[in-house]
Formats: sequence, structure tokens, C-alpha cells
Amino acid sequence: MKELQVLWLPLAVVALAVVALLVDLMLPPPRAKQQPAPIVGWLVVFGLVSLLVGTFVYEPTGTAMHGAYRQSYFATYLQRLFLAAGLLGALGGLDDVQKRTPRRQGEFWLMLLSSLVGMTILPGARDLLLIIVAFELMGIPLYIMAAYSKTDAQPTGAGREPKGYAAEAGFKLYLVGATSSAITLFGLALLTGMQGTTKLDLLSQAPLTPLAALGLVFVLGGLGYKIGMVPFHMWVPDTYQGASTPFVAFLSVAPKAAGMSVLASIFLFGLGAQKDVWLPPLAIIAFLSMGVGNLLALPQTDLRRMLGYSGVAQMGYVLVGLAASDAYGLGMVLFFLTGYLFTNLGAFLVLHTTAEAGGGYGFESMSGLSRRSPPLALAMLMFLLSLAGIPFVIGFWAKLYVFLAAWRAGQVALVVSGIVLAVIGLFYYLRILRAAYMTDEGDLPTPKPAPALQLAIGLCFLAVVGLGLWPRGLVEASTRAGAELVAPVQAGQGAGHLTRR
Amino acid sequence: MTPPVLYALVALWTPAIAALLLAILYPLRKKGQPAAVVAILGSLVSLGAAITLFTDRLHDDATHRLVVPWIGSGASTIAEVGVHVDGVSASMLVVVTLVATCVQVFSIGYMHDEPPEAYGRYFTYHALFLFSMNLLVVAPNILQLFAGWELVGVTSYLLIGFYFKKPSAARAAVKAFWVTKFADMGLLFGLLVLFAASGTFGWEPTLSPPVATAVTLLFFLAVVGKSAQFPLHVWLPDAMEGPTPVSALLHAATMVAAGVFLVVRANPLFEQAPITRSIMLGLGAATALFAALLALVQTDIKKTLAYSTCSQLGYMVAALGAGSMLGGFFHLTTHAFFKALLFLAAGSAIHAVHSNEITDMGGLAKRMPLTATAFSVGALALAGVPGLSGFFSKDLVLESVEGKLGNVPYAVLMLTAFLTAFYMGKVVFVAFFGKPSGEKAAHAHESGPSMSGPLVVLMVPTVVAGYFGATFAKVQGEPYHFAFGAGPATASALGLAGIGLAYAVYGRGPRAAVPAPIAMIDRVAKTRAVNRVYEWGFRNVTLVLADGLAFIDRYVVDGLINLLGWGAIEGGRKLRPIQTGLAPDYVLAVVLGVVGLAVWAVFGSWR
Amino acid sequence: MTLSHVLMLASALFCVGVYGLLTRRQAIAILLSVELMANAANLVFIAMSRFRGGVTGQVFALFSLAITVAEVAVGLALVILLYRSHADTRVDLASELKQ
Repeated sequence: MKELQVLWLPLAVVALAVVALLVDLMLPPPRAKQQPAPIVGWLVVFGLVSLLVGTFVYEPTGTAMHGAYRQSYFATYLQRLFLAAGLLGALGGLDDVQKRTPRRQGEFWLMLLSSLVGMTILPGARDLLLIIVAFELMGIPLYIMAAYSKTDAQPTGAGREPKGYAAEAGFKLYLVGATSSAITLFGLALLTGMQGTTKLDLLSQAPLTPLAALGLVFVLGGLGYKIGMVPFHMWVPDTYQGASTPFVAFLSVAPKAAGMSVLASIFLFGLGAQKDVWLPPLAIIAFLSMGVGNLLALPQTDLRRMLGYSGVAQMGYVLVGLAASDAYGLGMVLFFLTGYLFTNLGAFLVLHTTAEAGGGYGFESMSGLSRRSPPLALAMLMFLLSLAGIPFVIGFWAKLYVFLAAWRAGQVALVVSGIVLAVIGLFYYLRILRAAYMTDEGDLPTPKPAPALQLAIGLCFLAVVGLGLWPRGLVEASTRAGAELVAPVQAGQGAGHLTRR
Repeated sequence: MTPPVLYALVALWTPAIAALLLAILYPLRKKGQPAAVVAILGSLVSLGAAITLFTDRLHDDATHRLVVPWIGSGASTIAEVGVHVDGVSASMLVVVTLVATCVQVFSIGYMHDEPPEAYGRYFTYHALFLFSMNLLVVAPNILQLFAGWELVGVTSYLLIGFYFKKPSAARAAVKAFWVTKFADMGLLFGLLVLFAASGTFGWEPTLSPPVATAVTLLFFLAVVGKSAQFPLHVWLPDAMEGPTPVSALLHAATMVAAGVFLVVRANPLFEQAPITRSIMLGLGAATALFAALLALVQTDIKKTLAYSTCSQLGYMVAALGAGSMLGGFFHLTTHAFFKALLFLAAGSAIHAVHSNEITDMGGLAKRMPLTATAFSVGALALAGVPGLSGFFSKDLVLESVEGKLGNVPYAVLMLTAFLTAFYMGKVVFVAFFGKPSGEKAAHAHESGPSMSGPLVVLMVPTVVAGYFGATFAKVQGEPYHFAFGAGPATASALGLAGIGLAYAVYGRGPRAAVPAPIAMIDRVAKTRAVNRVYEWGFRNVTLVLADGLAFIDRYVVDGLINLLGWGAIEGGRKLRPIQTGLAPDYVLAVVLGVVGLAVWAVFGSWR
Repeated sequence: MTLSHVLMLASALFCVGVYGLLTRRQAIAILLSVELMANAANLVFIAMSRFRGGVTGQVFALFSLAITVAEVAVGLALVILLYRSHADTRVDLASELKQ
């Protein structure tokens, strides 16, 4: 019974998914020429809201399944993050799903919830088997959602893109994903086989053999694609361009956070003592991600691709924080991921709105936005300033703290290069703002987002600005969450501290 | 949260809410009248809270504070914001809110002819100003005071430049902003030194004498600018371009008094810096005299009052320099009342004859009795005629200055008292008595109730505030003693003599000839020497320096950034083709990545 | 037969899979290659269980099979989608999103 209490959230999401499925099956088939109401969608929204509230009301801690799952504040923090992302993604996508795939709506939500089940299990998972299952559970529905609109038309700008690319987007995501899964499995086989256990706490008990080290880096590489780190990032721009934008909003934040939490669990917690094996490659990957992400974002004309590359760079900054490899660094990583969640989701949803208003996905869709819709322009301004790291929105604090944590841990070169590369980001973020505030072609209509979409953008805006003005509460929460993961190792459970440092 | 703190918070935030509403709800502002209602309501509530707070202070002398951390987190909070309630802030709050409310009500009539949009804009700025000033007054540390200080500077700029389509007004606003901004550097650097030396932004710390002197001198620089002391007085006369109620509020009663308030607030710091105090004493007295001389030769009623303000601020600065916090603060209070009264009455007269020049007025007493009475009462108070508030506060100032620095400042201030009475007498006799000098003056009529009401209200404290000196002192926690000895007697005599002389020269009708000393001063004043120095300095030093820096900025700094940008763009362009669009290529990248990692794992140097 | 032998076989299989993944043009062939890689991993799991004791490897292998199956199912669905739009499953046809 205690186990059920500890696992209540993932189980509740499963229950929500089942309910959604049943409701969808029981809904009368829509009459021809009539757009079915997004009932399942709203059900999902309210369900997620309830669950999110529930995590604040009911916070059990403890272990389940013989220690394979451990619910702690770290897990709770991340679970709230995922629920929030799911909620905002659902709000943002309600209208789009109804319009583009009216007869297949229910399954979309089912896929979203399935992915969320995987995500909510991940932060608490303490066994590599559970981790990989939950990871795949998160990932596979994403392939389906990416390709959901199949080859249906996308919103056009100046008469371009008559054909849909969702299928291609989904396929590329899938291919990289499946390859990475195989690589991860191979690496896990070597790692767990040679270390003799799948439990994270026991992973460091014996010193790493070369074979186990090989397995370790395979796992690192295999997990990298979800986060979008270089060189496993190449699916990102294509998928962001081809899939439906509200889904991309969700994709750009939640799986990345989940991937980061897995990285943290496996490497910081499980293999903390073997820092010298995985830290240097991680640092190099961080540097490459910041570099490639920022450089390749510059020439983009499709804003979805640009934001995709921007996300690659942002994950580079997060990896810098992970490279600090201590509790404070992890806390700041969590803080960054939270801020990034609202920022990026919001940015994509605004882009979705302007594209739907007839502008397409290039810079032209932003033209004159300050006149057409001052609130939208203001929201986009805040989101872009946050991405660029300009005071006083949350992105500023996030970047500051992450770099600070890495600096304090001695990663000086990484921090300096990070700062220089982050400056490049200003170029392309501000270009969007220039289009919104300083150009005006004058012939684009006023964007009229649906109420749910407005609500989602509004919530993101409030979070980005509010947390930017008063970050203290969030800083304290994320520091506590970070300590919860790393501290048990420090407290010395005998796990692998026979060796160096 | 104790009741005093609550009152302070209400007084602080109601104007802010009014300002926010007016700023955001454009339709409200556009209509004009509703904006006035909102702003005045905010001021009235603020005034009520301030008065309640002050009465509470009469029987509670404990300090109440409410602060929240602002910068920094956890144990390492660097700066806080909040409210600090003590006698000083409570008294200042009453002064500010009372004058502000009177001025805003006066503005209803005075600004009546403005288009509704401008009318609304005017009141929005007023609400913003009141909030900024209150923020400064209740500040629990000098950092928040600085924030309020800067905000007040901004609103001053906006209000001086209210008639922004008029080039002279725009220039005046910019000039005011520049001069005070330059002086504000003092406050900023002072804050930095203070923080470096003591780790706090408060006014309590004990500093070593050199540090205390440095900090207070830097603060004093800001005071010189904000309170228009010589040589940074040049912006105040030009600031008269703004609407007269604005001059009454900002440039007589409140904003310019902020400099004096800073010194009162940071009294513990200034106590540790006797050198600074001596400088203040000397400069204050000098400014008082200098400004009074310039006031003598003005024919514009507002400019006269402006120089007069400058002069009286010199009194306050001198008192503070002499070590009398009470003297300076009390004079600030009484001056706020009667100077605001004078400006508003002047505004009433200006509104009637559509001109600022006293030579266009004349005989207004017969046609505008209330205005004339108000102005006269204010003038008498300013001259220090016994019985009115100015007498009592000026006496405190003189008493505190007596015996210091070889009694030179004392003598200077006495002389200035004589001159003050003289030039005020001149204005009264020329503008309000005698024969009307033109069409407009002959047909002038008294202003409506919205303009007359505040005049009546302000006359009350102008007359009686002096008698509450003891109460005032008690609230500040300072001893008070007043004796009608040689000093006050001499000052009063000089005041009456000045008025008498003014009557002799100007009282019997239009001036036949300009008295010789005045003509001489006029010639000197017309050279605008101080302004010329600034203009030369600006052209040959500042601009040259700026050009040099602009060069560095454009070619070196920008060059570097442009290089980075060019490099990034080129890099991006060259890297782009890697993204071929072919799925297997993406997988290749993954494989290569993993291979690289594998190579590291097997052959890496960590072994 | 020792662990090393089996590991070498598994590695060889894995590399064959990688080769197929990179060089084949038909989508189905690519999926097959991925399968091969996954099965190489399964082989390692089993070998670990056999030569180093414990059932963990076998359990993991079963789970791994389940995961891979689910993944391939979705993959095939996506391939069908591609086929529907291009009437061929050549992977280089799905390359309109680039740069």
C-alpha cells in the first residue's frame, strides 16, 4: 500500500489516460461536416490541472519496488514541471488538434498522456531497467505525435509550403531515436553486466573496467539525442519545422528536461565517483552544443528551425551547469529548466499564433506585431529577452546562476566560452524583435488566438516575468531539489567512494 | 505590520496605484477630467494617511520599519526595500502630500484650457511624482532613497517639459535633467563608497573620518544639484518653463527640498564629517546671498520666486552645515508652505493677466483681493516678519549659524534677509498695488474656487506653523527653544526695513528710474557668467571628450562586436550544409559521436 | 567459449547493423539494421547473465525485446506514411526539410 502512495502520480496519469481513452471511445461519432468538440482535450487539461494541484497537496516520500523507485523532492519538483509543460502544451494545442485532425483528436491526447507517464516516472527511477523503460515510454508516443498531421497542409505564408512535412519530421525523429535506443541498450548491457547491478546506488561499487566505461559512454551518447545535444541534434530543426507547432512547443521543453534528469540521475547520482570518465566528454559536448546551436541559428529564415537551434544552444548552457557536478550546480540546472520551459513554450505558442494568422513561419509573420497585437508582441519580447538572458526576466537569472555554479566548480574555460557564445544568441533573438517592433509591412491581419491558447501564452508570460522579478522562491526550491538527488551520495551510502577524490 | 507602517504604506501606494491606472488605461487619460479625479483621489487618501501617521507620531516615538529583501538572497541580502517610519519621514510625508494635494486641486482650474489629452497626461505625471517623492521620504536606506531621487528627477523632467512643443521648455527640461544628473553621480558614488566601507546602504554606520568625509561630500554634490545651490543653480530659473503649479510643487516645496531631506536623513553620517559641514555652511550662506542678489533684478514673477527658493535653500543648507538638523528641517517645512502659497498665488495672477511679468500687472489687489492677500501673507512670511511661520524657522537657522566660521555666514544671512524682504516687497508693490499697467491688468478678475481654495488652505500653515515649533521638534526628537533675543530682533528689523525700502522705491506708482545698485547687479546678471562657463566647458571639454569616445566606440568596440558577428554569420553559413536533410546523415552524426566517445573511453587519459 | 567470444560476436553484429543503417537506402532495410543493433545488445545481456551470473541480464533482455518491438511497430507505421506520400520507401526522398 505504501508503494501505491509513493507511486501515486504516475499511476494517476495512467488512470487519466485510461479515462481519456474510454471517453473518446464512448463519444458519438461526429456527423459529417461537423467539427467535433475537443472534449477529450479539455478533460486532459482539467485532469492535468488537478494532478498538478495534487502534487502540492500530497507529497509522499519513500521508496517502492525494492528501491527501484524513490519519490523525493527532486522527483516531485520535476514531476510538477512535466505536468505544467503538459498542461500548457495541451492548452496551446487544443485548438490546433481540433482544427487539423478533428476525427483523431482523442488519440493525440492519449499519446500525450502516455508520454507524460514515462516522464513522471523518470525522475524517481533508481534502477536502470526502470529508467530505460520509462524513457522509451516517454519517447515512442512522441514519434507518433510528431507525425500526427501526416501530410496535411501547414499554414502558409506567401503561398509556400502547400504540402505537409509531419511525416518526414516524425520519421527523422524516429530514426535518430531508434538508433539511439539501440546504442543505449548496448551500452546498458555492457555497463550493468560488468558492474553487476542495475541499481543506481550500487553502480559505483566496483571500479569501472574499460568495458564498463565503454558502456557508460554509449549510454551518454544514446541519451543525448533526446536532449538535443551535439552531435545528436540533427533531427531537431527538421522535426520542429515539420510537426505541428503546439506539439513542438511541448517537445522543445519537456523531453529535454526529462532527458536532463536522467543524465543527472545516472551520472551525477549513480556514477558520481567516476566523474573523470564522463565529465570531459560532457564538457566538450556542452561547448559544441553552445557553438553549433548559436552559429547555425543565425542563418535561419524559418523561425521554427531558429528556435530549434536556439534550444540546442540552451541545452548547452544546461550542460555547463551539469558540468559543475555538484548539488548546487544541479539545483541551478533545475532552475534553468524551469525558466526555459515557460520561455520556450511561450515563444513557440506566439509563433504558432502569428503563423496561423496568415504570416507563415518566417520573419514576415512577426512584421508589425507591435501594432497588430501589442500584448502578443510584449509577450514575445519577454520570451526572447529571457532566451537571450537579459535582465530582468527569468532567463537572465537562469544563465547567471548556471554559469556561476560552473565557475565555482572550476569550469572556467567552459563558462567563458559559454558567455561569448551566448552573445551570438542576441543577434538572432533581437532580429525577431526587430521584425515585431520596427518593421511593418502593413498587410497582415491581427492574430486572433483561441482562448485556450491565449491562456497558455498568458501563463507563460506571467511565469517568465514574475519569476524574473522575484526568483528567490524558485531558487530555493530548485536548490533543495538538487540537494535531494546528490546529497545521499555525499552522505556516503558506501557507494563507490573507495576510489579517487 | 504595525499601524504606523500601514499608514506609511497607504500613503506610499495610493498615488502609485493612481499613476499605474492612469498610465495603463489610456481611455481614462484621454478624457482628461477623470484623470484629475483619479490623481486627486490618490493624493487625498495619501494625505489622510500621512496626517493619521503624524498624529500617531505625537505619542509614539519608536521607529517602525518594514523591509523585504530585494537584491541578494538568503543570508546574504545586499539591499532591502520597504518603509521606515520615524518623526522625520512622518513630518515630510505630511508636507509633501499636503502641498501636492493643494497643487493638484489648483491645477484643475489653472490647466483648464489644456486639451483633454494633455490634461490627463499632466495628472498622470503628478501621481507618478507623488509616488516617487513618497518613495524617497519613507526609504529605509539610502539606496531606496536614491531610487526615489532618480524617479523624482524623471518626473521633474517630464513636467518641466510639459509644453514640449515649445523649444525653450524642452531645452529647460533637458538642462534640468543634465545638471541634476551630473550631481546625482555624487549620490551614486557616495553609495558605493558607503557600501564598500560598511557593507550596508543605511545611514547608521560609523565610518572613519576620511571615509565619512568622502561619503558626505559626495552626497553633498548631489544636494548641490538637486537643491540648486551655487554653482549648480542654473537649472532652476529655466525650470520655470513648466506650468506654475508644477513650479509650486516640485521646484519650491518638494523636489528641491529632497536634497535637504537627504542631509536630514543621513544626519548620523554628516555628524561624523565636520569638514563637509563647514563647506555646507559656507556654500549655503554664499548661495543665499548670491541668489537674493539675482532675485533683485528679475521682472518675471516666477523667476523671482525661483531665485528666492534657491536663496532659502541656501539657508537650509547653511543651518544643516552648522549642525542644526532641526533648523534646516523646520525651515524646509515652513518654506514649503509659504513658497507653494506664493507660487500658486503668482499662478493665479499670471492666469488673470496672461503674463509672467510684474510690469504687466499692477493694482491687482483691488481686482483680486484673495490672491493679493495670499501673496502678501506668503511674502511676509518669507521676509521673516514676526508672527508668521517664516520668522520662527528663520530664527532657528540664524541661531544655529551664529558664532560659526567667524560669524561671516551669520552676517551674510542677515544681509540676505534684508534683501529678501526688499525684493519680495518690490513684487508685492509693483504687481498688486499701484495702478494697473495694461489692458489685462485692468480687467483681471479673481480666479475660481478650485484655484482659490488651495490658496486659503495654504495660508493657514503659513501663518500658524511657526507656533508649532515645539511640537515639530518633539516629533523629531530634538530639543527646541525659542527666545526673542538680539538675533531674532535684528532679523525682524532688517525684514521690516527691507519692506520699507521697497515701499519707498516702488510703492508710489511705477518706477521712475531704476536704482543704481540694482542696475549694476542687473548688468552683471545679464552676462550670465555662470551659464557661459558651463556652455564653454560643455563645448570644449565634454563634447571633445565625447567625440573621442564616440570614435573608440564606433571603431574599436563596435568593430570588435562586428567582427564577432561577422565571424558568427560566416561560421553559421559554412556549417549549414551539414544539415543535409537526409535522415541517414543524421544517424551518421550520431554514430560518429558515439564512436568519438568510445575512443575516449578506451584510450582516454583518465586512466 | 568465453564472455569475450560472445562479446566479439555481439560487437560484430552491432557493427553490421551500423553499416546497414548508414548505407541502405530503403527505409525497411534501415529498420532491419536497427533491429540488428538492438539484438546485438540483447546478446550482450544474455552473455553477461550467462558468464557473470545473475538473472538480471535475461530480465533486461526481455524488456529490451518489448521496447524494441514497440519502437519498430511505430517505425513501420511511419514508413507506411512515407510510402503513401512518395510511393517508394527510399529514404532520400524524405529530405525536403534541410539546412
